Amino acid sequence: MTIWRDYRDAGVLVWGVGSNEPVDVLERFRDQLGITFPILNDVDGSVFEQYSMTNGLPTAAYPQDWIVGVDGTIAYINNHYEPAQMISVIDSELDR
Amino acid sequence: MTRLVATLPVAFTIAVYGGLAGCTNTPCKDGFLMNARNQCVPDTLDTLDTTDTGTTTDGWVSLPDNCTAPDGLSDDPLQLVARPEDDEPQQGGPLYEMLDLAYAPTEELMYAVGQGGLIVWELQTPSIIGTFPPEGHSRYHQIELLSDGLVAVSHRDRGIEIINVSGDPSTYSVDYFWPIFGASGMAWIPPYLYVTSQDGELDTLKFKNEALTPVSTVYGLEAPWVFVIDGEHGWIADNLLGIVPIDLSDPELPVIGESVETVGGALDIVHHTNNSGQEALYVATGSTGLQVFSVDEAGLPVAEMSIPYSNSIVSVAADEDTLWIVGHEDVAVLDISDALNPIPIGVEETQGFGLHVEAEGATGWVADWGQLAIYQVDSLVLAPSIDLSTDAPLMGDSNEVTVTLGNRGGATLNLFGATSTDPRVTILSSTDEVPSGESGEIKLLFTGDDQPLDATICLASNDPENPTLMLQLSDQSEIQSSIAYGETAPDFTLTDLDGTTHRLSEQLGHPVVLVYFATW
Repeated sequence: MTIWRDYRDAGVLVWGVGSNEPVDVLERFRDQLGITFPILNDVDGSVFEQYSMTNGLPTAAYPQDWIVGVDGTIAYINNHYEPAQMISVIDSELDR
Repeated sequence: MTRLVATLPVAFTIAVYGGLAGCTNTPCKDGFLMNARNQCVPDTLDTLDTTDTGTTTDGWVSLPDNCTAPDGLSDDPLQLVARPEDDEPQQGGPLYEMLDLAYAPTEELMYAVGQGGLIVWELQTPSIIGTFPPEGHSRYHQIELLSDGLVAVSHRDRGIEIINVSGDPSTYSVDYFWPIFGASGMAWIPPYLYVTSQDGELDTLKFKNEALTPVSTVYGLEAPWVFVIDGEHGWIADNLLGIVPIDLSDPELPVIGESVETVGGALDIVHHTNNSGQEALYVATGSTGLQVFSVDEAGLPVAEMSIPYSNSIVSVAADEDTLWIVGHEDVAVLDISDALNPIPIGVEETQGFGLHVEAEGATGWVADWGQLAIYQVDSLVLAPSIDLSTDAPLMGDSNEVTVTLGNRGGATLNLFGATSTDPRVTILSSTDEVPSGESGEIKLLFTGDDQPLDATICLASNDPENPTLMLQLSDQSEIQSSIAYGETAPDFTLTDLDGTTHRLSEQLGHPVVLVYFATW
């Protein structure tokens, strides 16, 4: 994710969250996609339940991207990867 | 695999069903029509004129009859010619995902590595003739062919293993190894085996006289994946740094040069000289597509152009005047007879999940999750090739959606019709002609009422693979988020894979991007 590369020095955190997945599966996923940001292991899926979006189309449920703003509120929700939109939200958060 | 091109959180959900189940010009028999669920149903219930926007009858929707492609479309230049059937490979089984391929032309074998270990394919069927270890399940990352029946494989935890593959797969054995934590990319310039590591190292090993010995280690990488070498120059695709040039004037002590940023990440790189002697670097930059670099006299990359794709590009391969690129959902081929200005030939959906590509002549081999898929291209056939994507409105009030109509083929794309089955969806405007390599757009407006939206937009074009494409629109009410925009994010504390604990509420003042994913 280029957001991590470009914005980590500005204090932006990127956390991957894997829910109900065995550790070795998460590790494989990390290795395969070359992920360098932390991947958090949501062992029982409880965090995912708090955040999840549901959708009439099962294949559309992932990925889910959220941005928590500098004040701890939800600043962005999307279940389609839209880097340009995410960057504009991050830029406006950093300007706050 | 049904492709979901785009989902929109608020105004619409759009799914695109390509190729209409079999990808022929007449997907249904005479007297039948394709409904919104891609089923062929009798057309006796509705006789539609071209102004009809469709009728819902007993749960199915007949398409307006002006949404049909004309006869006489050109051939499809890019074809899938062989791929074993999926039989739901089990985790740990030999058919687990393949991350890298190495083609051995003299043996006519393809070596693949991944979570199933080393997998050997014969290329006729194709089918697996052996795995190592025999029970599968290792964490091999990449493979490099050495000489005399030996291959080197990198393992994230164990380092480098040199496997003797000279006999039958049941007799394979690890003859040499050297521990390098985080080992990833390799390059073999006898007698030196260069190895990059996710710890930021570039290690030089010497493999000579039946001994594998370390020569040097240099530092300065971040997240290196692939290392390619030409003479005294080398280039590393580093997913955080971009392209890292390596000076190999002293082959025992590589010098890491100043990195050159790419438009996105850098997951794969090839250095290639085409039939006209033109040199170029082609880089898979993930979600930002393909980027092309020239190389100056000092071996430094100079950015020339980039081509965005609607899906993340993870691998590149080149042979002669043909460039292959692979994303998780697409295989695309470009003509590189002008090395720095690739011209699209075609794009084809993967059947599974594309991870790597190798190419020779008109053949491309794709590591398609656990299966080896073989594609053939006829670069002399010029045909259009649709690549749809959406520029979705984000959490806004707009009910207008723009669908980008990219043409990844070598001939002009003509759109013959775009119709909606729901009168509340208006096609505001549409490009009807898209030159090769360019993009047009279709603007849709939903004049919504309280009734749920479930509409089909049908596009008919001269794309030989997808003469009719359907976009499925459904209403936002089907997507529900458990927390709303602007609400306080629920706190949580979780441990990451390295054992570090992270608590959300301790990050006030820092924007936190949360990426929930599924590994399936």
